Amino acid sequence: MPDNKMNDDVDECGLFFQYGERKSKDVKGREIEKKPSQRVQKIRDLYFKTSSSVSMEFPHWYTRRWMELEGDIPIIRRAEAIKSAFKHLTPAIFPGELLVMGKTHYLRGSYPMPWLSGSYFMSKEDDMYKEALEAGKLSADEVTKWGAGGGNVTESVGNILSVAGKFGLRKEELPILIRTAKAWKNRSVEDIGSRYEKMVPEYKEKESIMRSVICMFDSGYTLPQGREVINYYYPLKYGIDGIIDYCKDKIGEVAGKPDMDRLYFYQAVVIGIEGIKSWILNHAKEARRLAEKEHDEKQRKEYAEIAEIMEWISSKPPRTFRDALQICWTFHTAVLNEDCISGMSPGRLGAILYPWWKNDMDNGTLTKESTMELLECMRMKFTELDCFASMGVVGGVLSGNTFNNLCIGGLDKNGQSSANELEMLILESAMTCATPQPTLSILYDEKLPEDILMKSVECTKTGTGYPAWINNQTAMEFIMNNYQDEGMTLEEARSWSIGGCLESSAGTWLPIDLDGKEYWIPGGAGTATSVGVHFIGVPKSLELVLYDGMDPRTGERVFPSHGYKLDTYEEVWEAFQKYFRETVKVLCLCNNIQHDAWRKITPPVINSFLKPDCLTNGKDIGQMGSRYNTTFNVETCGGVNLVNSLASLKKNVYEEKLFTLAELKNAIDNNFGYKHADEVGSYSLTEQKKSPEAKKWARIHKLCLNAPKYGNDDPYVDDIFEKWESWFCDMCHDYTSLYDKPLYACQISVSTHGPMGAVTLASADGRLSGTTFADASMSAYPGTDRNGPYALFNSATCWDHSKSQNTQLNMKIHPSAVEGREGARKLLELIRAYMRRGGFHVQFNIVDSRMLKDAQANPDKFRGLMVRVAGFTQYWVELGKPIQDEIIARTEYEKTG
Amino acid sequence: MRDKDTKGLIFDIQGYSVHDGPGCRTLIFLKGCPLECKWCSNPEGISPLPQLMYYQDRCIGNFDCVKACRSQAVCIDQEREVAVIDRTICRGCVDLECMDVCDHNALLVSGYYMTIEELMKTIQRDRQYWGAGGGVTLSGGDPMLQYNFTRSVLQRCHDSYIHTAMETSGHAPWAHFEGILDYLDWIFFDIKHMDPKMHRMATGVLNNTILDNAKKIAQLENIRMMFRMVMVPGFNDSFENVKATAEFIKGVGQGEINILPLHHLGSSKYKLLGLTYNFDLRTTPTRESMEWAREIFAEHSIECYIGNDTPF
Repeated sequence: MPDNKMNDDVDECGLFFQYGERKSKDVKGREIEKKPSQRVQKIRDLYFKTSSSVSMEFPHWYTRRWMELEGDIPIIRRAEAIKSAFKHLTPAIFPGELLVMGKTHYLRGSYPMPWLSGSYFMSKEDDMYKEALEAGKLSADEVTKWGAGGGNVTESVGNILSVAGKFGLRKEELPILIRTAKAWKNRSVEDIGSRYEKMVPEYKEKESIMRSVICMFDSGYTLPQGREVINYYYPLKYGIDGIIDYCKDKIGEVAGKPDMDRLYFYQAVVIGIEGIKSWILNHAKEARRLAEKEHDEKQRKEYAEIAEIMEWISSKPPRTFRDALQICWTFHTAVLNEDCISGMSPGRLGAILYPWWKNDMDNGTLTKESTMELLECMRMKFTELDCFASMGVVGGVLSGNTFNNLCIGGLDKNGQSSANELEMLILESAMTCATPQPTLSILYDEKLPEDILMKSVECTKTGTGYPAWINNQTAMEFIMNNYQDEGMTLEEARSWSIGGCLESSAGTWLPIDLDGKEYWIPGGAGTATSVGVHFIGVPKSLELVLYDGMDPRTGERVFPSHGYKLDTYEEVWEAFQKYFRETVKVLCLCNNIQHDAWRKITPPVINSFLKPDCLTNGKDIGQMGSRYNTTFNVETCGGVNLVNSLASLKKNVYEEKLFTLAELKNAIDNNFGYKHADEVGSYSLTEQKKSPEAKKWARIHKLCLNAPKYGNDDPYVDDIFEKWESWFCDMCHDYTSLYDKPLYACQISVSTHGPMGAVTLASADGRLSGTTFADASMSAYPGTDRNGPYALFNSATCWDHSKSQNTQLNMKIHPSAVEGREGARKLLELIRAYMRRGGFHVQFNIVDSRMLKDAQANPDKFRGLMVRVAGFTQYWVELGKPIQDEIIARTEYEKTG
Repeated sequence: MRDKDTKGLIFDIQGYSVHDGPGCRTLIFLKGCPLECKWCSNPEGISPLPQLMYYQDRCIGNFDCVKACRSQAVCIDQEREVAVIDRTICRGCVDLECMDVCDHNALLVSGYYMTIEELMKTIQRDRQYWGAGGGVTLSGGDPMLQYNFTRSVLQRCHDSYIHTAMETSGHAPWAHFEGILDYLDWIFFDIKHMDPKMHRMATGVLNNTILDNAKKIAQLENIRMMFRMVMVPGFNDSFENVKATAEFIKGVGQGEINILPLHHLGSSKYKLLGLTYNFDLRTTPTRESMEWAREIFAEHSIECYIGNDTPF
């Protein structure tokens, strides 16, 4: 039976990919489907027809100015380069838009930042690419697979070249791309940083780690900022001219005084913000030009309105909700243009914009309908964003997502519910205009009113995957604990928000006075998180233990022998701890150097002046100008497969001695008698096919699959899970960031469970070679949670989630299980139950797997279909196949009884 | 738009109501009822207008109300030193000057107008405390008498995912029921008597509309129907009537009833309204007679719950 699928064995082994019974033979569509306004419908249709496009304008002008200023003070040089780039960006306004501006003049445009890293988008024949590959910098790219549908340009077509696996570049811009990239050779953050990384004594190990893809990628050369919450306060409160005036005053104060870096910083801010000012005014000019030649009366009026707003906000603080929203968007895009960033989150935008919204509603200049139109326009703007980085980063980690997380709910400064009516409309607009960005999270607190919770459930039920449900109290405990040495208070902890996927980020409250009323609005006050030690595939670390430091996939030695005979389970656990510690240590040292190079060569100017308290203390983010700097972390992936594997080893090899370690390794070498996932073309366990000799390893494989599995409230494996979690969360504190602060644990998988699974051989839990790990960090391995969601919740909460920056639980529920009003209320009860147990996060895909299979086969029919991956929602057709397979295989909860 | 569409006349709102539907609930009493049952325990719910309630024991006979009344409906009983209201002269005026001038709270009004927004605010507040499985129950009076308001409240609750229940006499045009049933999860449907003439004698109306409506509602799938009957000794507790009731319920395809023993807790309110309570306070059904009725229902395979002993 060479074509026998894993599925056939699954029943024998008692794995269930389906919890509850299948009631109906028909594929269940989505219960709630809403439509955007006609205006936004048009913009969305346009977006669907648009591909990811590269524009070289920004990098060209940036590079040109930078080179002209050879020898100047770095932050001034940087600010001048940014200013020149902003001044030269071609403004583009699309018909029907109420909010304007974007990263480039394309609807869906982005560009490389070769000053950070230039190798990954060069052709594979280029020396720059080859050198980087040798150093293990591109190993993750090599094992990552892109989704071929939607707006991804995975292959060159006609006059359009595919760059970095996803982006389309016009052929005539290729010479500029190459010239610009070459100009940064030996000058980029990556090239300079790499020189100094080599001075770390264990550097050779680091290269091996990267080549083996034990770690996904270098943090400092890829996405040095992001996973943080932006702060729009200063532009909203003072306007652009207000900030310039403030800086000019400060320059007078600090010039010639000690701590002179402040002088350059304030000057850099003035330069940078002048660039933004011209960029805004160029859009005003463009709007005037369009208004003049427009024949349609209504559209002409709209262009004129845009021009007036842009002229106003180019110097002054907002008058209206729309002004305020435009300011937020302008500065959001400005920051994303400054650096290579994913996960720059708007934070609690409903609470931030509420003062202006309330004012407009009270004086009758705004209605709920016009608010909805603006919010839908905002959704399109955020969705149009692309992040240009390497294939490993954008594809393997982010799945093309940009993680602009908008948070609803939470508490206000005084500890009362912070939910408001504008947030109800934000939720509604996320249903009418269902697009991946901004993704929503609801900061669940017992104090939140039921109506916003039920609205969030309704939104969850649309199948978009957002909002993610976050435990406000657990997160506040983490924030209090992590930032206590930097003076965090309970009141300030309440201003926290999610930055990026699920990264709890510190914030602060700042006052707004409007019409005699005082409002305290939340905003980010910490530096980038998810920098430091990037995703480590922990089952791979265990694999190295079994192979005594060798990577069996590449045949390369990564670590020296651990010296254990592995005669007892305790020895396995100790050897694992040893290798894992070594990995974290080496990566931490190297990444600190990378970030040091980053802050010296490309100091952030725009994000710095936005973030409290850089502007008041005259220091940029790299000089610890932000209020909170304990933000470097250690990210893991595949923890559940590690725990399941340890349980299998403990039980089968050491306690019951059903087979020996040598026999197990032999079975692993032979992938338990299955073909490799690449050969099969599917990356989920169920779809794997047996080779003719499968019988030889069938017994061992069955024992591995039958070993206790996480997610069933089984103390045998939950004890191992608790031990792993507690040890991991504590050991992170032993390593220190560039800013001399302890590291902490971050447990989100994003999409890394795909590529990291791809490089890991079969594991002792019965998982096959090359297949995807369990998603997230609290999700059970697909099909192994047989006792329903309550047992899964019990397993997940057997340890204290506030020890970690986050945890992640993805659940797939069949639409029939939460059907109707009663179903909606019950879904809330399920969520509440997990939150009350201290679970940090849960999110849902409410979808029929058969619909996803249909979509995999017929991508054209499903251009708009969105699914939740891990902390983000993405268009199905833009996901790589391994991740698609993994989502289909997730245990599906259906109605029982 | 007239006020009736946006405002409702309410005479009480009770949070943490635990017997009128599943879970912990908020119970809203709407004023006005098409029936006038002699044993009614909420007599202030019968009239569709605000009503003056006079607490004679608080009155000190100081003539303030006499001077304030424009209809000259109030005079002082010199001997007892208390005010006396001639309800045949009292116009039930909306100003209620007499009430305003009384410093001793002897004169109060039953019934106040609330907008839907105001009521929803109260409901959204209470909602925080119901826990799982609670909701709103509209009662009265009969909420169907304030059809427009009732419909809006139920719709708003329904849209906010709030569980809705209503207790009704069933005496309303079918079109009105059709207008609200989409927004209703649960209905308490009162049965007084199966015989039309007996029904009219005790409530003032025949029961044919009521029974017709019951039949139609009973056919609906998405609504839980709970019949309710107050057991009034000597009126509807005969073997024939209980049996007929059971057969009717069976006949419409339902299988549950909640029987409530007659009580006289509302009797004192009659006096406050200037009415007389015509029931002998000693007339209450015995435990045995309730059990006896339950058995008859049981013989017809109908689950019968006595008083507060319900599975919800």
